[in-house]
Amino acid sequence: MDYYDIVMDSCSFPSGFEHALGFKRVFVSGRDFEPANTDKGEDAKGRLAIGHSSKNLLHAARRFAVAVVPMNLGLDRAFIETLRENSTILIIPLSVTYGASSDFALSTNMHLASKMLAYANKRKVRVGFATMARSFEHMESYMQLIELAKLIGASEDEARQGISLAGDLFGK
Amino acid sequence: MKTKFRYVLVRSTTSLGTIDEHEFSKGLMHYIGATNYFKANPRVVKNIDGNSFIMKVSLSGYSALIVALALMKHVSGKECGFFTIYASGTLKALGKHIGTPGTETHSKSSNDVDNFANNNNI
Repeated sequence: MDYYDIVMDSCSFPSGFEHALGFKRVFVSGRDFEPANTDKGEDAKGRLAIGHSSKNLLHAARRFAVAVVPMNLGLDRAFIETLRENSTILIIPLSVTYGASSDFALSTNMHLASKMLAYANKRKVRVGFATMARSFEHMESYMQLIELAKLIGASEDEARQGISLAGDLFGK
Repeated sequence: MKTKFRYVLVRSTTSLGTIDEHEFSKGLMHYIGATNYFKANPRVVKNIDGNSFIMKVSLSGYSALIVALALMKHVSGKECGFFTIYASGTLKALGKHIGTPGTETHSKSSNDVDNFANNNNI
C-alpha cells in the first residue's frame, strides 16, 4: 500500500525526504494542487476545500468539492450528512491536533477529532488523514500518522487506508 | 519471560547535540506519562550523526513512543520535529535504512551500527 501526505504551501522540505518518511509522494498545496479557501468564498467545485467555518464548508460540499478539510474540527451533523450524500471525502487535519498551543488545547482538539471521526464512520463517510503541515517541523512520518490516527479512534486498517487516500484524490 | 524491544531510527530537524538530553527525556515523559514511562523505558542508544539517532524502547511502549515523538515539537525552547524513519527488533535491520534520503551520514555509519550491535550482543 502506498502512502501519501498533504501539506500547506508554507511547508518546505528537502528533495526526496518524503521517501524517507515512508510516503510515495507529498502533495504541496499551491504547487501540486490548487485548494479552495472557503473562508474567502472561493469556488470549490472539483477541488479540495479548506476552511475554518463549517457553514462555508457545507456550501463547498454542496457545490461538489472533491474533499473538505475542516481546520476547526467542528462537528456539524448536517455537514457530515451532506458529505455522505455527495460522496465527498472528509480529510482530518492531524497537525491541528498536535499543533495546539497548550496541553488543554491539544486534548480538546483530539476530542473534537475523535468525535468527528466517530460520527463520520457511523454515517459511512470516506475519511482520510493528512498532516496539512505548515512547516517542516510539523511534518510526520507515515508510522507517526498511523499512530496518531489510531489515537483518535481509527483502527489500523482505517488509518492505513486514510493515509493512502490522497493518492486517489490527486492521482498517483 | 524475555523482554522484547524495538529499535527506532529517528531523524530530528535540529541537531541532538543542541538539545539538552534531560529536556528531551522530560518531553517524552510528558507525552508518554510518568506512570507508563518506566514500562516503555525509552533511551537513545546510538547517535549516528547530529540529526539521526537510534532509540531503544520496550515493545509495550512502542506505540506511546511513536506518538510522543509525533507530538513533541518543542525541546529546550527550540522548535523541532522528530520523524520516525524505521523501526525494527534488531539493530542490524536498522543499519540498512541508514543512508536513505533524509538520514545521510558522513561516516560509515551502517558499519558502525553493525559493530555496535555485535559488540553489545544485540
